[in-house]
Order: sequence, then C-alpha cells, then structure tokens
Amino acid sequence: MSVRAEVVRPAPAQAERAEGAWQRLVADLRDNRFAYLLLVPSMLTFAALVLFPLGSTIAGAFAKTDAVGRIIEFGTLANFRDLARDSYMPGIIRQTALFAFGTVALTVIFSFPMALVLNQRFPGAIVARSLLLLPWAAPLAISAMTWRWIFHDQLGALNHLLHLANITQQNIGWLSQANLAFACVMFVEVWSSIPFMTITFLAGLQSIPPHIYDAAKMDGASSWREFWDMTVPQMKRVFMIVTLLSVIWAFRSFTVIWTMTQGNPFYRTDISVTYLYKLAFQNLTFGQGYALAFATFIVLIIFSIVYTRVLRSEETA
Amino acid sequence: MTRRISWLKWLSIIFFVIPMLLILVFPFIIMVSTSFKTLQEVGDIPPTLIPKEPTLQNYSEVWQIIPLAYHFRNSFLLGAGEMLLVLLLGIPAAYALCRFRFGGRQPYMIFLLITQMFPAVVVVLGIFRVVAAYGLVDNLAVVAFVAAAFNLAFCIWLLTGYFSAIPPEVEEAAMMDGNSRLGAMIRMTLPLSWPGLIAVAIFAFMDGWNEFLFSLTFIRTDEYLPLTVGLFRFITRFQIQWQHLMTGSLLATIVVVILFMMVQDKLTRGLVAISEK
Repeated sequence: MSVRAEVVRPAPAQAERAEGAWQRLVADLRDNRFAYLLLVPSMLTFAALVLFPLGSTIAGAFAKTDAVGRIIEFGTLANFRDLARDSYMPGIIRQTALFAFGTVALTVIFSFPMALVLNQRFPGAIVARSLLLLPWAAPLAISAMTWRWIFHDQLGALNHLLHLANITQQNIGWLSQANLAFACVMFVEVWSSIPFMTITFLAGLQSIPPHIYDAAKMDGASSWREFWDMTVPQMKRVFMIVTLLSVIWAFRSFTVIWTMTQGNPFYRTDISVTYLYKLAFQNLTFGQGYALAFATFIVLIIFSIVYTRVLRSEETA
Repeated sequence: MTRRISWLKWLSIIFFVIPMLLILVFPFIIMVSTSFKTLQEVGDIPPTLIPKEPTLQNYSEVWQIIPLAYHFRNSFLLGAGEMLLVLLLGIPAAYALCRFRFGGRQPYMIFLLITQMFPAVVVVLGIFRVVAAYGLVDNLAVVAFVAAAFNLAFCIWLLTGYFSAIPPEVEEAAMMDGNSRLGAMIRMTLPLSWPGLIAVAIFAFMDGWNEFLFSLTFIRTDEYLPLTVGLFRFITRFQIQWQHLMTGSLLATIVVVILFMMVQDKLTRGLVAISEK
C-alpha cells in the first residue's frame, strides 16, 4: 500500500483530518494517473447506461408520469399508493419470492449431486460435461420457446410421453392452468440454471486439496463421514456465493416467463420484473412501473447486504 | 469398500446423471425433430419423435416466411458490437485493476458488484424515455451498447483473472527496452493473454447474440429485430407454424453452440477463478 498512509500524525483535528484525506486523494490521483485514465471509458459507460437510468427510475418512482414515461410533477407517493391498492400485487410478491427462492433451491438440489458425480472419473465424463453446458450456451429465449412447444396441450411432446407411459390419457393444459404454468416456468428456469451452478460446484470440488482426504483415509473414516466432514465444509464458501448470485439472477429473470406465458393466465405466472414491464409498456402507467422497479432494487440490495454479512460472520466464526 | 463405491457410482450415473442429461438436451432433440417434419406431421396426434417423411422443406421455406436473413444479420451485429465494446471498455479497466493498487480500486470493485444487482428491467425503464425522445428506437447500436454495459462487470472480472496470470516482469522487461507502460501492455500482456481475450470476446458475442429484453423494448421494426425477438414475434403474432419456428430456432442455436464449444474450457476455467475470489 501507499507509504503516505503510514505517515505518523499526532491525533489530527477534524478539519486537519479532512484536509489530509483530500491531500491523500490528490496524491493518489497523481501517482496513479495512468490507472485512473484506464478506468475512464468504463466509468463513462456505467454512468450513462447504468447509473443514469437507475437515477431516472428512482426519480420517476416519486413523480407523476405521462403515457411515455416523462415526469410531469415531481414529489409524490401516489405511485406507491396505487401499487399498494393494486389487487394483483400480493400475488406478484408471493410469486416473486416463490420463484426466486424456489428455483434456486431446486437448482442446488439437482446441481450438487450432479457435480459430485461428474467429479468422478467414468467413461463418457467429457461428453457428459459438454452436454451439460448446452442449455447455458443456447439463447434462453429460444430454448424457452421450445419448451413452450413441448408443453403444448395437444401436439406437445410432454403429453405424448405421459400417454405413452400410461400415466394419463388426458391432454393436460400445462401452460393454461395457473398452478401448472407456474410450475412449468419454474422448471424451465431451473433447467437453464443447472449448467452454471453445476460447473461452479465442480470447480469448487476440484479445488479441494486432495491431501485432506488422505488423512481421513488413514484414520479409517467412512466415505459418508468423509463427505460430511471434509467435502461439505470445504464447499461452504462456493455454495454461499453461488446461491447469492443465483437468487439475484432469479429475481432478474425476465426472458423465461415472457417467452413462455407472458404472465398468463391472469398474472398468475408474473413476477415483479415482468409485472412492472407490463405496468409501464402495456398499461402505460409508467409511474407505477418505476415504483415497483425501485422497490425490487431495494429488496435486492437489502438481501445482498444481509447475505454477505451472514457470509462474513460465518467465515470468521 | 472400493467395490461398493464404484457400484454406487454406476447406480447414480444410470439413475441420475443420464436422465438429467436427457432432460437438459431434450429441447434440442425436439428442435431437430420438428424442423424435419412436414406441416401435416406436426399436426399428427400422437406426435412422432423421428419424422416419418423427413423433409428439408422448412429449411428453404423459413427464409421467405419470416425475415430470417435480416434477423441473422442483426443478431450478428449485436454480437459483434457487444464483443468490440466489451473488449474496448473492459481491457483497460481490467488491466488497471490487475496491475495498480490505487485508492479507488476497492470502491470500483464494489461498484462493479452493485451493477450486477439490479434487474435489467430497471435500466430499460429508466432509459426508455431518452431512447424514445431522441428517436433512437430501431437503433441496434443502442441495444449493443446497453447490453455491453450490462455484461461489462462480469467480463472485467474474467479479464482480470486472465491478466493476473501474466507475470508483471515481462512488462518491466519491455519497458526497459524503451516501451511506454501502454506500449508494454499492448506488445506484451495482450498477446500473452490472447486465449483469455478470445474466451471473453466469444462470451460477449454470445451474450449479444442471445440478448432479448433490450431488443424487445428498443426495436420496433421487424427488419431490425435479432433472432431471439424475431422468432418470438413470430409465435405471438401469427398462427404458430411450429416446424418453421423450430427450424429458425435450431439455426440460431447452432451458431452459438459451436462458438461455445470452441472456448468452453477457457471460459469455465475463468469462471472458476472468479468464484474462488
């Protein structure tokens, strides 16, 4: 680190300290001019395309807006009041929570065992890994539409398979019954998330130093004990990070729902991001859209802060 | 004991891994199967897995039914545009993060993390007003720029990983030979890390190719739509012709899957490096 920070300063007064911080900033800018210069292009991009829209959304949340989203009058909570009165909102909140946490939990349940097996050597392991990554590489919008075709009530492959297996002879309307449709969009979200999570778990497993297992073998530990006492604790960190990222991604997930059901039937497969998109671009009530966007953002930030706190305290404990 | 383990292993492969893989590739099997069917066979009840009279008709028809050539061009432009932007903006930033220990380093890293935290929809809403007001609808460059900004943080992390694998000594040697810092970076570090750069480039290209939400919102005219939204409009607007949709889908998927297979190893290793930090 910089030498300047170590300069001994006998308990500086408030003003002096502020001045010191300022001087340090200037010195840092001077010493690392090249580094800061290198950051300028990306900073400008983030400012224009990430920070500005964010600020604009937040401003819009507290303003009256017209049909193309312009702010007419600033400084009102009317948008939030309208949202609170919206009879669909309780359902949307419930569905968002269920979707985000449900898909992540299910993805973990399928990905972790998958990673454990793929971590072993067996013939075809390389082929298995390539096939595993296929859903991750393909355009999500397009694979979700293909699932929509598979779930088709009359011509779809799924109903046909069920007929063949003699489970039912009915044509189940997978995407037209609310609960089934919700299960289907969750399924496709899980389907699309499994590759990334499995590959991250796999990487975590491979980074466990092999010698810790040798010690356990010598003590005559059973493979079950070995798994619980060695593998699981070593994976904890990877596990926490992956689940945090996945919950954030699931909260942001738009494509699967939009291409499969567009929230139908009756907003029963909508989550907050698809619903706020409709509020803005279909109902043209931009203000409410901004307000819901702002609320979603705040929830995500709070969730991330709490989660990283927990992660830190677990690590130090 | 070893025998018991391997027995368990085979059991789990047969009853867990194989069924899972089947489900993971199932949509792609259906895509292939449907794309070779005639209109009549698509409507057959019960549906068939292997077409009775396989036909290539869809592969010639689909280009006339939807402006597929335009969609391909636009997807390519989005991919290439995002790739260029990510490299241009990301390489300097990643290099600075990797080689310098400056005061703003930590805040910048935290900022990158925060950009990952909000839904793209928030940005779409916030930026729509500007796009509409300045007549930037139907502009692929806008979509590429927004998509690149959204993918940038992730790519900077990836690039930082690749750059830190290059020892700083090679740059110092080049600077002794009279190169500037920038010259040393361009002549030594970039060429040495090219496999990583290619992985990031292809990752960015794929992200642009697969982009959906920004194109859905900021592009109105069919002629400027990329494949993802173009095909989506096709199923919402018309009586759905599944065999055509699946043919288009398959063509759109093949391109990225081939690219992905080329850099799969590099990319997953880069992701591993991120998750370990």
